[in-house]
Amino acid sequence: MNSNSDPSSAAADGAPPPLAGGGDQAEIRFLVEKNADGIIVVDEDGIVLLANPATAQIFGRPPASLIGSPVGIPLVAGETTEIVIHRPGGDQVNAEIRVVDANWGGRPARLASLRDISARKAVEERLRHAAKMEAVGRLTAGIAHDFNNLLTVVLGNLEHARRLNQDATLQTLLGNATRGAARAAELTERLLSFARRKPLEPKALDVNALVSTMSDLLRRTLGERVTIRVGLGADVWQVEADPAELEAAIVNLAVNARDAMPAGGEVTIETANVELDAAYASREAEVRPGPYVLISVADTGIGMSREALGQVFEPFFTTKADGRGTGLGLSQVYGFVKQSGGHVKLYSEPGIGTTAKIYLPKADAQGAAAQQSAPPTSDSQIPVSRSGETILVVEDDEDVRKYAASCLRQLNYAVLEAADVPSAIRILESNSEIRLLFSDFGLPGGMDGRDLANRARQIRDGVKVLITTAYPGGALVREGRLDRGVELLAKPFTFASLARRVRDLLDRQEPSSPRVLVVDDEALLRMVLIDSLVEEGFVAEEAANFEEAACKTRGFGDRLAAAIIDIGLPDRPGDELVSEIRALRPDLPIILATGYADEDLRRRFAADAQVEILAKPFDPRSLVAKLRALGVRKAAGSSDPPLSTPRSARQEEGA
Amino acid sequence: MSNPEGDSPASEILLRLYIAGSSATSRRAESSLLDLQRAVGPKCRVEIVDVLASPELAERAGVLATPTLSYDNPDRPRRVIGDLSDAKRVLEFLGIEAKEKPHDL
Ligand SMILES: Nc1ncnc2c1ncn2[C@@H]1O[C@H](COP(=O)(O)OP(=O)(O)O)[C@@H](O)[C@H]1O
Ligand SMILES: [Mg+2]
Repeated sequence: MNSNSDPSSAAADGAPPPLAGGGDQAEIRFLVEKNADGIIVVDEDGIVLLANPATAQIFGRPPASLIGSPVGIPLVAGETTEIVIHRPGGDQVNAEIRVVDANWGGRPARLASLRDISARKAVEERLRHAAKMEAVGRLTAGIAHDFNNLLTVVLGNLEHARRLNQDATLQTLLGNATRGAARAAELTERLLSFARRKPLEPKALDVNALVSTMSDLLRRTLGERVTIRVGLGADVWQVEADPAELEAAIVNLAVNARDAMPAGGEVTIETANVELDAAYASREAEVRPGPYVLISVADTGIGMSREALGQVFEPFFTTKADGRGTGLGLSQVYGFVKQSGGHVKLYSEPGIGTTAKIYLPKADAQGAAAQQSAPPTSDSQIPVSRSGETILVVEDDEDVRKYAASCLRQLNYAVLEAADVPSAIRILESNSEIRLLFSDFGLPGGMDGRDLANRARQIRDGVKVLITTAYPGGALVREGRLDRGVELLAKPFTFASLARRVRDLLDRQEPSSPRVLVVDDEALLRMVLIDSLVEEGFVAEEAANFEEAACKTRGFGDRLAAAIIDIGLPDRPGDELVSEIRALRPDLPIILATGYADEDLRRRFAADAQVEILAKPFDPRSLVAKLRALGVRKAAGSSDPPLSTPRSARQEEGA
Repeated sequence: MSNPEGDSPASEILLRLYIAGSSATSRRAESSLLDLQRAVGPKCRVEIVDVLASPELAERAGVLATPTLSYDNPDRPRRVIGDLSDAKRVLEFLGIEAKEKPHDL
């Protein structure tokens, strides 16, 4: 019964008995040998009687060494079960097994089939990890959001109190309280950056230049016992990323490297252009194949275990004792890189070292050129209102609204307040002196700050918009980036930062180029027209229907220089729009685009010298020529593209 | 079966579970092991070997895959591998008798 020599020697003889009675032996042997899945037969004591080549490959051992070894009786509950196979040398393979009772040489045996599912498991594991990080991120963002609102109130009132206070002792206490609150604000900022909710200001960046300028900072961070080597790749592409955050990410990696090398060692920072191919992307969760710039930071430190490696990006995961670690360093790296459309990967070997690799997508030339950073304003002085400009503050949180309004009043602005969108719109409609809208992003009742901004610009063209948010959600920050043309002030904001941003916006000159309103329900056509108009130096405004066009015409007033109107609009015909516009602007140049040369139409507008009929299809150049013929010229001397094209075709695509 | 009934220390049963790290599979196997111990009764001792932490132990025992549960009865060593959740079946394959009545405790 327990003699395990008989069957195994039979197998070693190369003449295994049939698996079950009957069947052609040679055929069965062939099937077993060639089967892609491992096939293994064990006797009642769990001793291997037969193992096919696929099994040997999964075990990483020659078939002969498996025969006779006490693997054990395979047990499965249900269809399949998963086991881990340990290869010589320490590699592990995840295998899925199925088991059937069999008969071997007239004695009961068990046959198991094995399938290597390591690759599938690895992908599943990464997806699960990504999902977990996402969930932790959402939770974190929620907390940080509420916290930021509270901090705005705390910091704001402290600041106010310090300005009013004359007492020196009290001043110290207030100063301490402010510092504490400011540190809390820093913490929430780091949480937001992990949650990919931090408003980034991406710019076209030369990574090599950035790393070079950091050498001093890195030397101080790493200390004397660590040797730094920098290997900058040649002709490294530009990336589009927030320089301050990238710098913070590199510092975080450097600090970790230092902590991993208490007795000193070497840190190597390298940059290179790399192409992540589809094969790599399919193995990693959330990676798109394409060109990337690689920034790697390698150390010769203690390294970390596989288990730690699976957790290091989680916020608050730290192995550093007594408060030396926050567990937020790698969370920042992770959040920032993901938010920038990149990819981050850690490789670590206990006792040998760790390499962190950041991949940032190569900037597309167009996007890089479009990103221009505003010059930083000097922070020595707080700018106040010059002529008591009027600002509308829209915020549903009463404490925050009161604080913002009181700050602005102290800066000598005239302030109007609204707690929701409908009252904000009413105020906008009845107060023509409003120069700036300062609105929270998240507002009750279906419309958010950006919708309000759009409405505000329709009602009163030229009104400046500053949006504040405790965290910019998906609509405002597409994949974490600001829509162009939306100005953002993150909460908690200080008196000084509010003062500066408001002044900055109010002082910014709007382009004086003539505005041309393009009215067409066909978005693609609008895009083509707007592109050619912008190329010619015009500022284009768009409307998709009668209603919107009429509203914009009223809003722009005299700043409108011409209109291009499609005759077939979804709500009311384009020729009625012409009449509507005529009531406001008797001599506004208008081009009426029509699908058929309608004689009746021509006759009707024959008397109006400022209306031109243009038959579709037309080429954009003839359109521009017609505009010129009507006397519409771009502003003298402005050969540059306008500072802020309200919505360019590029954005339309991205939306 | 090969185990005489009774409470003498000689009849002690040692079950050794080989696992790899603290994966979900390992944790499931550990909890199955405790179920088995309960089913066998007081004469059952258990031991857990993490093959990642002590690869030499696994090597010496010839454990090629995890989770493996071994019962090193000198007369007739037995092991099972895979899903250990069905205590009755596991004991049957290992050739161990479960305690008869709860009041044996
Ligand atoms: N270069 C490294 N070498 C070894 N372990 C590291 C390295 N970088 C990070 N770790 C591990 O990851 C953990 C989390 O890192 P991090 O998020 O930066 O937080 P903190 O540094 O505050 O602990 C560290 O506590 C450490 O265990
Ligand atoms: Mg750190």
